[in-house]
Amino acid sequence: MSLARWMRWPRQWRRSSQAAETKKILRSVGGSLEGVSSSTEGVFLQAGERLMSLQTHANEIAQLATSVAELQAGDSGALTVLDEVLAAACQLQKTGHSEKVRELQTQARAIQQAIETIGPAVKTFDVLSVMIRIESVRCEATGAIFVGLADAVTQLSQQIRERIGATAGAAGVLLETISCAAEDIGRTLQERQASLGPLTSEASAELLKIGDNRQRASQATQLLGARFSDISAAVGNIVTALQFHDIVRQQMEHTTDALRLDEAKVNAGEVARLRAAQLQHSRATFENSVKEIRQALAQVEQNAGMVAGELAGLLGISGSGDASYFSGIESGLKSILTILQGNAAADRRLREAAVSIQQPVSEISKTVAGVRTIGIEMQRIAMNATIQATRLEHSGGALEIVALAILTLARQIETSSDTLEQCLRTVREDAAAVGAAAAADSEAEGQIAILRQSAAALSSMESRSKADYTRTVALTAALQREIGETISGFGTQDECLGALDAAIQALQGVSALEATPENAAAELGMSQYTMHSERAVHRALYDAENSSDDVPAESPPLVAEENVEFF
Amino acid sequence: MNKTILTADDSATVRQMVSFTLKAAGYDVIEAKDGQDALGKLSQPIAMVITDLNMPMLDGIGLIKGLRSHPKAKYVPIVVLTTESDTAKKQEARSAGATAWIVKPFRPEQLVAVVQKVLG
Repeated sequence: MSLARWMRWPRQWRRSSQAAETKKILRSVGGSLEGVSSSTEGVFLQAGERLMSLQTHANEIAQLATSVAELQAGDSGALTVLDEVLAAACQLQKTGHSEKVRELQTQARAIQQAIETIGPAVKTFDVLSVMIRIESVRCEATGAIFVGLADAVTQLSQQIRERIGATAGAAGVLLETISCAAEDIGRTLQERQASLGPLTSEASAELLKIGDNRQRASQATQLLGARFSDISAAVGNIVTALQFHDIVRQQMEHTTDALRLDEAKVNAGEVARLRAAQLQHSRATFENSVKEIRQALAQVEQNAGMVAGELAGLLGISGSGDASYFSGIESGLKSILTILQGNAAADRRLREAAVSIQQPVSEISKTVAGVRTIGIEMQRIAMNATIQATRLEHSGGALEIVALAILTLARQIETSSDTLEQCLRTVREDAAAVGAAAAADSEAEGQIAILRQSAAALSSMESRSKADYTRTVALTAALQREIGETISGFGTQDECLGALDAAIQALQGVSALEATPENAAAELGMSQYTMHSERAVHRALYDAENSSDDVPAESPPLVAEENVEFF
Repeated sequence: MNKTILTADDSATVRQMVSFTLKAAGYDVIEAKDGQDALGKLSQPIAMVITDLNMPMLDGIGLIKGLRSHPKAKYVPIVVLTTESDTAKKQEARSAGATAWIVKPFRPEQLVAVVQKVLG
């Protein structure tokens, strides 16, 4: 070996050793990039599979939440009916039938009094009959006998007594029936005044609250729409970010392919510098997509939690999940229903009483007509006695007085009969009016049916809402758990980022080791790779050449603004 | 009956995301891992094809040409879904018979809008 060769040998040995080292590093970088690519693919695919399940659950939650909001907003009909029925119930309280029934009571008492006035008249008739008999005996010598007259008075008096006795019984029944109805009405009225008023006001206030909440429900539907729109946007971000795995994979493949090329052996320094910058770009893209996926998953989780919270607020459900807006009114409505049912029953009884009054009234009426006839007959007898007395001239004076007394009493009976008939007419009319009014109030029964129906509709809506809410809460919890598992399974990808960092550092080391001033290799790289993102890296690389090679390229935006073109 | 869309991409992640997006929009999706695989899956009626460009075995341009010469897929719309945005590549796809071009990554609503527009 010549001296010159011997002198060159260390340099050649160094170059050869350096080339071997560079080759080893490049092979190692290529291997580690392939490892990163395959290990991340599994993780990204798993996240994608989870995304399908998350989307299904989120859709189910969206459907349930929308159903709850629609149920809450769609029961305004039941609320309006309830409000109207409650207002009508208050109105019912103001009318009542107590005045009419009191009037009936007055009339029944007047009937009793009128009947009572006939009793003494009958006794007087008996006395007058005896007096006629005495006069008949006294005038027997003159040939005038009035025994028949006395008998007629006694007979008619007896008839009046019998009829009035029966009438008094019927009048007693009448008064009792009317008094019972009055008592019933008084009690019902008192109950209404004591309970229905406050209850109705309370229920109306609760209905207002529910009504206000229903208005909020439609706003909440929009809010929920926004939440699901956010979830949908987050899912969209995940779909987009997951695709970056493919982009990064291709970039790494290009890098490993480039490192295997002969050019890498000749211009190792420049190729390594270019690929280090490209890897930095890939790393930034990868890191950004990982961050984006984690953030979007957290956003889905957060929005799902907010949906459950908003639904609870919409239903007025407390932390324990027991209370709701409807529960505030439910017991009030039940009490109102009980009172209204009591009212309806009282109205029914009143109608029955009004009908049952007609019978004693009719009986009394018939009897009074008979008494009236007897009174007229008695007047005829009195006239007859007056004629007999006139015939007897002076000796008929006493008989004339008796005849006058009979006439007066008979007229009194006729007048009493008139009074009774007037009272009976009034009772009949009042009873009919009470019956008609009670029948009109029987509309309350219809209102009760509507009230019950509306309350049942609200109750059913409430239980369906609660069931949907419970399902939503359970689904949300499952979704949040699933998201937690997905985030944890996806991890931060630190290992892959570390492997990329190591590869970048190794390539930068090679670049420093094999420093060459020419850019020929970079030009070659430019002509080989046409991907837009890679060109951006190239541009970044050469633009940054004068400043610093260590500045990593910025990651591209998730989606280019104009990335669709129709041919 | 749902329309069936054939998607060809060598990336399992992209196939998964295309499938996820289109199934959620109510389409049936058949996946193929490259152009050759896609041509072998034309036994059932296909409403549309979404293909990547850079694939092993048979690339996107080859698949478009294959589809255009296939009696069953002669008039089927073909959307190219690729990371490429090179004008020459785009022109090549257009000449081969592609209907539209989408640069990856896509947003779900964007892909669905393109599919809806293409399928009418």
